[in-house]
Formats: sequence, structure tokens, C-alpha cells
Amino acid sequence: MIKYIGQRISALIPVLLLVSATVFAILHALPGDPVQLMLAGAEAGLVTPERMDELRRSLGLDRPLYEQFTRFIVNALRGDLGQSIRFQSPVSELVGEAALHTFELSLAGLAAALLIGLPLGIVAALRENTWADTLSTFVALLGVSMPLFWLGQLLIMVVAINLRWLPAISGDQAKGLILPAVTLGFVSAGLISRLMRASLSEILHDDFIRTARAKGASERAVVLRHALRNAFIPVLTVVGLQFGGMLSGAVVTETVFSRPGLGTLIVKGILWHDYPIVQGAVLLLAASYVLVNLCVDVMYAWVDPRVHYA
Amino acid sequence: MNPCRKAHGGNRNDGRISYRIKEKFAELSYAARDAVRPEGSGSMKRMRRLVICLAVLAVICSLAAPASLQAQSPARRGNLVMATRGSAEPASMDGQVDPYAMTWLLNSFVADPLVMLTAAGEYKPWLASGWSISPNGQIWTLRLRRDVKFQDGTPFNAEAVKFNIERVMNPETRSALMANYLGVKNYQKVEVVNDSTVKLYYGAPVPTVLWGLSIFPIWSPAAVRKFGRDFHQNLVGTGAFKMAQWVKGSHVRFTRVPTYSGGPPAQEHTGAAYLDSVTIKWVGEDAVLGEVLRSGEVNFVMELPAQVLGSYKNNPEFQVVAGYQPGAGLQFVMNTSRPPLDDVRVRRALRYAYDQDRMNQSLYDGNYVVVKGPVTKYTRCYWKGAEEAYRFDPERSKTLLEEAGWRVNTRTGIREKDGRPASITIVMLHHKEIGEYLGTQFRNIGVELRVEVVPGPVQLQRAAAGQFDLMYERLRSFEPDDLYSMWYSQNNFPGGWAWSRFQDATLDQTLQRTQFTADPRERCRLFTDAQRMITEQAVQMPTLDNPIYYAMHKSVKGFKLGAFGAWFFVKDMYVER
Repeated sequence: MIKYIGQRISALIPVLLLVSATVFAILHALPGDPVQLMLAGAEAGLVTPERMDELRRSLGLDRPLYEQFTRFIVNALRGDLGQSIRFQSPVSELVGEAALHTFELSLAGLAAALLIGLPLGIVAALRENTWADTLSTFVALLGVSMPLFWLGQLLIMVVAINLRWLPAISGDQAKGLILPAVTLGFVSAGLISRLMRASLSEILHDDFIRTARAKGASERAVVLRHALRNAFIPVLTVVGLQFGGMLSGAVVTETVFSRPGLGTLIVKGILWHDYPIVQGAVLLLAASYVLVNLCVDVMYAWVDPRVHYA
Repeated sequence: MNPCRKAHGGNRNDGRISYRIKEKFAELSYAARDAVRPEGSGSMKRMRRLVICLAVLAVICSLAAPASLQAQSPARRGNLVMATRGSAEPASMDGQVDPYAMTWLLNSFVADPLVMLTAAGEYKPWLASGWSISPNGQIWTLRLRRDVKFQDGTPFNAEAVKFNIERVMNPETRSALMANYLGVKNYQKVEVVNDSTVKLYYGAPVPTVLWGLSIFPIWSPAAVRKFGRDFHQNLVGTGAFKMAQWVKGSHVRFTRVPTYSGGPPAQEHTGAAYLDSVTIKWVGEDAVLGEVLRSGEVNFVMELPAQVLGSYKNNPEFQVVAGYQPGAGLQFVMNTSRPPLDDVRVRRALRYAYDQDRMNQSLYDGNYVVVKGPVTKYTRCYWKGAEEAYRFDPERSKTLLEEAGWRVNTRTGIREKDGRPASITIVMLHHKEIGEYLGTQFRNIGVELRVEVVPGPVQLQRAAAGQFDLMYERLRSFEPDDLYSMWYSQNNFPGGWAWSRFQDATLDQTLQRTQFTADPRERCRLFTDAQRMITEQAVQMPTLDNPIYYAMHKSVKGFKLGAFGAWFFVKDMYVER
């Protein structure tokens, strides 16, 4: 297992290199000059071409692209993601601060997805072709088909503005996390519930379940001890992927709920052509995605004893 | 002196006051009881009388306390929680570096300026107790107040001012705009004459020095050195509020400095600011910003979206104030370097083809401001003649286009010349509806308008490359010097703002003179001349301007707008309980 984890972690390096190269290439292909943007607002006469060149030099933007990229990679390996052009602060600080907020939101979103999706799926599987199953399907469809920003605004209008139960602007209060988490989690909840229903429904018709029942096990024991654990394996894969998706979905949720995070930071970085910020943030997101998938793979072995990693 | 006030040490919380009085009374009662025990019955009577007297005194105190306290310091406290657009959040909180009005506004909470720009638009002494200018307009002598300290306890003096001036003039500071207002192009040196006098030396007169000084935050040199590159997150000035917390992307909080000794003209009352704290929350979505005041999460909104104005204006729970802005407004400059807008007849035809008043009514229920010239009517040295220059007259537009050789293709309805259709592109960042409205108006005169909404970087690139016919360009400052930035033809290079590529020797000469003329009247004459020339040549297309709407709960009192829409004074504000 340790060898397997080691292999997977070492596979991170080419993935991150590829991600960095792609982001670097895309950002440099976009129109707009970061130095010009940095001095936006400065009046003519002050921003001479010489001054712009000087600034470009001091930021290393006058160097060839391959040199800029190599320097970024070498520094990143040392833990230095560079200096933000616009914010004039170390990228690692900015990205680190934003990542905490995003991970907090994504974890809360995942919790919401599981809290909503799993019970719905389980109830639907246990009460197949009843009104409960239909209701579960309806909620799942709503979740999958509703755009995040629309759901977020709807929740804000109803829950925060009209009912005044929860804040519309997240701020630094813990209760400010509830609405964004539900918004983010609701989409995944639909998928999780459908998958849970299908998986559990299939397993409930398997031979070993019939055997368990024949041996006199209670229905509660059959479901909880035998069926659920097995049904959870395919769900686990989706949960891992959904968590990765939530990291990116957080961009929209963060904007709607005025939350700080990687999403808003990346958007600002792109708008201001702040290359180091975008590179640093995307690198972190990519690494997180890979690591989450690794965690899911490891959890397979824990959930299903038949799975072994050589 | 009121004995009650002395007893409770001027505490302003009524509940706490009565509690303290009771506590005091209990103490005295215990003292009396303890004193009674060893004494005889005579003493007991005396003590009883003492207790009764004290009880009466306490009752009088508790009745009189609220009134007396109100006279000393009324319930003028509270926490202002303001919501505004997320896009307005500064990248750096240091106004010496960051070039945006929001940064300067927030800096004004923490740092007092050398010169106050009052609500009436007058420059008044503040940290600088006075100033004088040499006859040639090249030396500014600033006399400084001696009774001021920074929030970190270090003294405010001539050395501190010198440090700040030199910091902003240093290219390494990367000051994007402040250095320009303070005349970096002609700056020579700053000299400390004595502890309370500094002199600024320039190679030529700099007309924008007072404006620059009015928004220039003076920071504690010790704090700047201490925090280094993180200073912008730890601002230390001489102002009424301290920067307490900045969670980027979420909010920034300022707390009251109780020892602050302010007074007119910076504020109406004397002493510390009323508010205990000011929190600014950044809201990413306009729809949320429009509703968040109603939910009670905030008590003040800056830049309330115009779409929701009606629901606040008609609600007695809220108050709405409009802050009108100087500068160019939502204008589109015309690219005069390529056809068809290289022909003044075509440019004038476009100007006659739309009506800003109707546009305002149809798009914004009349909540925007109509702009008819190169600057809004709230700008210094505004030329009123622009209002009469191009009255809505589509027939005249058609005649001008005919004269310019653009004939209608009866099949398409679009005019053509030499086989080329009259099709132009408008590039904008936002307010797409204005582009669409113009499109329908231009269609009536046989001109096709393609609307392109692009992000900021693309706009800058397109402007630099000259790839547009009409380009959104709005600069805003209290002084009319934006006209120089946008219309002096030499300012057409990367980083410059003369995007229209219009060249006129007389206009250039006039605008250049504005930069070296110290006499305000003469400067105004030059600027109005420039506006007349720009209007005559029809090189820009003014439309409307969006005022900054402030909405606040009725409990928020003492709000006062500054000399321009994006500015307000916070020190007299309080939240009524």
C-alpha cells in the first residue's frame, strides 16, 4: 500500500508540470499586458514607455517565455510561487489564505451533498417505485439540472432576504457557511442519490443478501451491515470526483455569496493578467484534485477488503 | 459638576450606569452596616439617616443620569456595516500605490490628509495648517500642525511628510496615479525647513497639487518601515479609525480611535468619531447587493444598483442619497484614424442621431445623469455650451451622411460608400444596453452598429492597437485634468489615454497650457475652450453617467457626501439606537 501511495504521489509531478505548462501557455496567449494593467489609471505623461519597460524588467516579464516558465517551476519546487503582480504580495500567502476558505466551503458542500444525497438514495432504493422513490428522483433531477448561481440567488432571496434565517453575505460567521454549502452540495446530492439508489437497489437483489435474510438476519442488519457497505463503493468514486468538482464549482458559489477563496482569486488573477496568482492557484487545485483521488483509491481498500494494491 | 456624572465616570451605557450606582450604593450600605455594629443606637440612627440620604441621592442620580449623559455624549455610537460592489475591493489598501477612489476613501478613515476637500469643493487646511505658493508657482510651502501624532504614537512632523512625499515619488513604490497628481513629472525635491514646515520644489507649476494633497494619505514612517511590503494590510495614519482586520474578498473593518481629536472642517463635531466601527463587506452579485440592506445584514449600501432604487425610495425605513460624479461619464471615444469616423461629417451625424434624455428614461427610468459633453456637469470648469451642441435631429444626421457620400442601399437599409457598408463597432466593458440602444438609433439613419462587450485587458489591447470605431473610455477625478489625459494627442502610447488618435494643434496647445497654468481662472478658461473644440469636432459620444446611490437604514445618521459622488465623510456618522 505504501509503495502504491508513493507511486501515485510521484505521478503527481508530471501532472503538475503539464498543468503548469498548459496554464502558462494559455495565460500568455491571452491579449493584454499586465504592466499596462498594473498602471491602469496612471495618466499619460507619467507612464512612459521607458517606465513600462523598467517595470516589465523588474517583474521578469521581459525574459523569454521558456525562461519565465523554468524560473517559475524551479521556484515552485522551493515553495516560492512568486510575487503577485497586482497585489504585490507573495503568491503562496495569497493562495494559501484563499485555499483555506475554498477547502472549508468544499468540505461543507461535500457534507451537505452526502447529508442530502445518501438518505434520499437509500430511501429510494428501499422504497422502490413508491412516492418516496419518485420524490427522490425529482429532487435529484432538480439538483442536477439547476445552475449553481441560480440556486444560490434563489436561496439568498428566500432564506436570507425574505425569511432572514441565514446571512446572505457569508462574512466570517460560521452560519454564513450554511447557504453556500447547501448550494454547492445540492448539485452533487442529486448525482449521489441516484447512484446510491441504483447501487443499493442492485445489491439488495444479490445472492449474498438473500443468504443473509435466509440466515435470519434482521432487515436492519441486512441493509446496514451487508448492503450499504457494498453499495457505497461506486458512490465513493463519485464522491471523490465531486469533491474535485466542488473545488472548481466554488468559483461561482464564492461569487454569489461574496466569499473569499481560490475561485475569486483566480478570476481576479485572470482579469488583471496576474500570471503568478493564476499559476499558483491552478497548481494547488490540480494537486488537490489528484490527492483527493488518491485518498478515494486508498479508501476503496478500507471499504472493500477484496481490493489490494501491490 | 453633576455628582452623578462623577460617580459613574462618564459611562455612556445607561444599563451599566444604574448597575454601577446600585453597586456603589450597596458598598456604602455594607460600610454603614459594618460601622453600625460596634456603635450604639445613636450611631445607628445617624447611619440610618446616612443610608436614607444616600438612597435619595442614588435615586436622583439614576433619574438624572440619562439626561446628563445625553448632553455630554449622546447615543451617537454604533457600528456601520456597509456593503458595496466586490469589484471595488482594492488590490492594495495603500492609496499611495493603488489608483482607485475606493482606496482613497478607505484611507481617509485611517489617515487625515494635509488638505481637506470640503463638501462644497473648497480646499481647507487640515494637517497642513496653511500653505503658500511662490510667485512662479513652482515652490509650495506647507506649514504643519504641531499637535498631531500617528496612531502608533510617533510624531507627525515635517520629516514624516518628507518621507511620504519621497515614498510616492520613488518609482519603486509603483504609485499608479497619486504621484502624478502630486506632479512627479516636474518634481525636483522636498525640503524640511523646520519641524513644522516643508517645501516642495517643482520645475514647472503643478495645478493638481491641492487635489493630490486632499486624497494623499500620510502614513507613519515608522509603520511603513516596520511592516515593509505588508504595510498596506496594516495601515497606520493619524486618522479617526484604525484598520483592524482585512479578510480579502470578504470584508475590511476599521475601529474607532478614542483619542482622536478631530474638528471642523474635517468633521462637524470636535473629538473622536462617533462610530465604534466601520465594516465594509464586498458583495459579488448586484442582485444580492440590491437586497442585502432589506435583510438587515448591513445598514448602509454604497453603489446600490439603479434597478432596485424604486423599492428603497418609497420605503420610509430607508434613505437614498445620490452622489453625482465628475469626469467623462459613460462616453465612447471615436477612432478618428480610420473610416468612416475619420470624417467629421460622419462623426457629427452620429451625434445628432440619439437622444440621451430618452435613453435615460427608457433604460434607467431617468435614474442616470444625462451627459452631453466631454465631461459631466459635476466637473470643475464644465462648459455648458455642450448641452446645446447636438440636439436630437435624425434628419440632419441623414443629410450629413449624404454629404459625406454615404448612400442608402435600399436592399439592406444600410448606407454604403465605395462598396463599403456603414458598419461600425462599439467596444464596451459593461452597460451593454446603451450599445444596443445606440444600435437601434443608428439603424434609423442607415448605420449598422456592432456591440462588443469585452473584459478590461482586451479593451486596453484594442485601444492600444486602434481596433475599434467607438470605445468606452471613462476617467474620473475632481479636477478636469482628465481632459488633458484623453485629448492631448501626445498621450497616445501604451499606458496613455488618448485613444481617439485625434490630432489638432490648437487643442493640443490649449491642453498643454492647462498643465503649466497655476491661475485657476485661466485654467478653467483653457479647459472650457478644450471642451468646446472637442465637442465641435465630435470626437466623442457622450451618453449618460451612473450616479453612486447610497442607501441606508433610517437609523444611520450624519451621512454627508463629499465634493464628488464617490466620497463621503464618516466621522459625523452614527447609528441611532
